[in-house]
Amino acid sequence: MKSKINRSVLLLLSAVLIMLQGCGVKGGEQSVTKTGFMLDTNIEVTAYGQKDQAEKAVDGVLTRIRDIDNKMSPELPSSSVVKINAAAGKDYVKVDGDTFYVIREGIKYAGLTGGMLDISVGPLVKLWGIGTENAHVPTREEIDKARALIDYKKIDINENNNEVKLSQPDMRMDLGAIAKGYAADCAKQVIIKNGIKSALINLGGNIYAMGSKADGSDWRIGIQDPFNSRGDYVGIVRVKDKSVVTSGNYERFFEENGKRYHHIFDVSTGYPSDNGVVSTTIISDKSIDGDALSTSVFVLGVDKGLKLVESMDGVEAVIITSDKKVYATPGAKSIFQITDKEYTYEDR
Amino acid sequence: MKTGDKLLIAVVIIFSVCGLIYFTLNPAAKGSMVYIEVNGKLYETLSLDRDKTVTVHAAGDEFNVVEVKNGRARMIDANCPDRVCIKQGWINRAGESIICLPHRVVVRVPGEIKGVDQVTY
Repeated sequence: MKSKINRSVLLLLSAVLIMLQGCGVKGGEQSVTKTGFMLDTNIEVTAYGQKDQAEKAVDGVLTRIRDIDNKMSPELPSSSVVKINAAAGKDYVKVDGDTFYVIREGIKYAGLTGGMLDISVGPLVKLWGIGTENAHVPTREEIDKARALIDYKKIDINENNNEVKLSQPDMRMDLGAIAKGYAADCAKQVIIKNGIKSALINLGGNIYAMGSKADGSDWRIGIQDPFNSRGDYVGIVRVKDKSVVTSGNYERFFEENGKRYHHIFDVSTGYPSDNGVVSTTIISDKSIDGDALSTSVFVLGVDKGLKLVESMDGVEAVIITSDKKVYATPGAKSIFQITDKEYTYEDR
Repeated sequence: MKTGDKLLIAVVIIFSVCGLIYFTLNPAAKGSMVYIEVNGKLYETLSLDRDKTVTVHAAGDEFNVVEVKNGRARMIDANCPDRVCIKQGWINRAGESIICLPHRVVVRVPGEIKGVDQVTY
């Protein structure tokens, strides 16, 4: 009997040993990582599998994202968006299929959020100039003038031949809130086509965690600490084959007279959204949904934001407020674990 | 119980305790290098052990100044429009980074971020 107990102790200790030492061990998988700068952000793609195949998949992804950037950039002359803006109030513009799809999704989300996420937000983005040398707090008059031009219902689309027109002069389309999400979905398709089952796609902090880790376990995705260095996280989301997208007020901003102005606008006021939310993370199957919803929830705030997400199937949200409280959908609570003790869960 | 069993138990305990101490006392691995990348390509590699200040020439007349001091790195100057990179402060742990979006400059400590595969931001 005594030796039996000793055996159990030994087994238990062995198990602990294996678990502890196993943390540092990686499976024998090969991985290929490449980086780039597209869609106005830094991009990092890692594919796991047979080396040639992984390399081909990663290269294919970068080519595809470059293609999307060329089509949807707010600046490149090749961009359908630039052409649509140039023809505002005048003509219909025939656009490529990718852009047409993203515009239709944008209009769909504008409807779902009562216009709080609006792809015709361009005049406001241009006026504030965040990220450019023209960044400044505009006058009330300028803001009202820009706001009067924002209305997704005035985007005319012709389903039959992929034509789009902004019905008023000076209207401006901006796909910044959803293009990265669409690009991540396309990247996933490229990776699947190349026979790779496990990959991490990082488009400026929008993550697509494809498949599972090489050893079959969940991916562990940290949610950035809004008040600390990039790479420090509040907690960990465990997922398989999901998009994990975050919108935060700490990524693009400028300061004037000691006040910080970030890049996510509340179209109802014309100012950067100011409702206490500092970061929203959406976990979903499609990254375009995650991208659109992370911005929507950021602007809608805790109550309306969580209600919107809970009304949708297969989508979860984690919201962080300026007082370091964490709000989450029930499904998110089961996969997200807070690791930074400064943050605590709060019920609505 | 044989001597071998006892020895094995002792070894197991020592390893477990060492592992436990390592993982609790070392919540974030300190890096030894920083990579400076411009437009997705490696521009320069710096050692965190050697104090140094580097001026990074991005496109045109765009510049960013990276300082390595006392085992940490930060952006101390840049002519980018928003200067968000300068406000990001010091980095020294694996996976931490400073990103200057307007100049497409990334300063990062290579290696895996402790405890996660990626961080969403």
